Amino acid sequence: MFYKRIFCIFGLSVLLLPLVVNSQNLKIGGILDYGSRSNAPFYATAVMVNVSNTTAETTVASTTIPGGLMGSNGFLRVSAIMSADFTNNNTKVVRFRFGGQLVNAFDIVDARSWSKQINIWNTNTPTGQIAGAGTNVAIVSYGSLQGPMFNGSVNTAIDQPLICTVSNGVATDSLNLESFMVTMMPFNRPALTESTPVYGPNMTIAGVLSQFSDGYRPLIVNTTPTTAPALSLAENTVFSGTIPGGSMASNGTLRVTFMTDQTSNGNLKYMTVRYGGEIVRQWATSLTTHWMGSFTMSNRASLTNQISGGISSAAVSFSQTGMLPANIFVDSSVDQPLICTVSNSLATDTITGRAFIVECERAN
Amino acid sequence: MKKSLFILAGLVAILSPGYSQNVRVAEVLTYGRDRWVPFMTSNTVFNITNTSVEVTAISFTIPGGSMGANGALHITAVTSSGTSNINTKSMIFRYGGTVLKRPAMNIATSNKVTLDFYLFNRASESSQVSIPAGTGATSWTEFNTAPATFTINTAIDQTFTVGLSNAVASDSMNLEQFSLRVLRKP
Repeated sequence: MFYKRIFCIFGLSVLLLPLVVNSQNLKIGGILDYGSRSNAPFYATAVMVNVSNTTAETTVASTTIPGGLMGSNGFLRVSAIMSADFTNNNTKVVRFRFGGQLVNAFDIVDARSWSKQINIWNTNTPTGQIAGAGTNVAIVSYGSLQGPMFNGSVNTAIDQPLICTVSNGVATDSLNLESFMVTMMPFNRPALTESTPVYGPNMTIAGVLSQFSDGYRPLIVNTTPTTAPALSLAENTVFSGTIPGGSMASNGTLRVTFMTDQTSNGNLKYMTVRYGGEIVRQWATSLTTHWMGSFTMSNRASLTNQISGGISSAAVSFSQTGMLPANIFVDSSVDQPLICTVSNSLATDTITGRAFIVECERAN
Repeated sequence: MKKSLFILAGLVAILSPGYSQNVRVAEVLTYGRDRWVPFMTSNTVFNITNTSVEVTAISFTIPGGSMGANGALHITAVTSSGTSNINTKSMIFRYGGTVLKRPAMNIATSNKVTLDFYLFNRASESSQVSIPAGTGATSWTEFNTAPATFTINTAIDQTFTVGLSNAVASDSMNLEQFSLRVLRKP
């Protein structure tokens, strides 16, 4: 009798729990709430770590990416905030290393804080990666980038460390890690089961890990280099894919991230992204060796109306620009092509598409 | 019959994994959560014009404890200007009444701001850090001021609002898109 009562109470709580916690279809203030408890970073810390009175390179954040978790086309997105206690022209270098290889280093001389985001993509293999901004001095994460891009050969089939370090050029300076977060987007990865020995000792998996549920997940991951034909001023398609009809739902968002490398000179190079034949984003860049951009396109409480980045002569992504957003009308309830083209303003220049990533965040 | 159903539900609860995606997390690790879904999203245009009073475009409640002590909020937003001039046109993000960020359109050619930033809990549900709270409109770059720190109690329900404000009443600005995600990490 006692156990029956316990089970009854427990059962009742389970039946009612989804009404309280599982907010997938909950509306707050008339606007949709899609279940905050579905989201979790792979790794996150915002405990300040200070490095001062030393010029040695010092690790301020570290995590391990379990082998096999990324798959052949998965990617990592690292977001960090750093700060300096003194603003001066002394060298202060921040480095991100994956599997011991230097993904990104940037040198700050006169700023007080920095917000940095890095995308590391596996390139059709668990043992090859690319990422924007290899070892340059540019602070920006998205935009026109000088210096070589990261071409990695980290074996992600086995556990690999992902670390952030800082070093002061002058020992009396003082640097802080303010926050460090890693999110992971597996792609083309076999479903993980409890018997898959890729997780750490503190985690077990019961059943199959849902990797393509109705949330924010990659739809297109293409890291195959595609170079526009030589001596051509025409628009050339370097990436294309299909956005399945209805995948965004009426309030969903696509996030598009791309990277190119190109002839570094003052000539303009253009990139255009079209959804269902409509231009959703167009940029131009010059004087850079590679270029990284990201933008979002959202359905506007409708399957047939979208808001997106628009057309700009500037290469920046998350900033203030002199353009209006693009308001387009494409029927997203049916399959639609998403196409990325590039073109040169001088025929002898070259431009190569290196990465084209489309993530979908579904919202009804 | 009812007892049987409750007993069945109880047994299901005992045998089911703890997380909704069939992932059971024993201690600190929470990776493998592939789903990113917005807690709040609004992509319809909200316009203000002929006023210099701050107008609330969006207001909602983030339930207490949603973030966890090491979780984060991920905020993305797009605004546009109907008048290209140097007058300041701001969007104001408030959480628990505290201004997190106040990016402004304030250059003559500016027609749009796209923002993408995080608010991180610092191993505590009542301590946060984010990019500087000033008027800068660039997300992933360097700043001339220190990161912003806050002491918002995220363990209790708190209101999140997005306000719009024209410095000059005759100007016009729009909130074009807004999304907020809660990245939970206890």
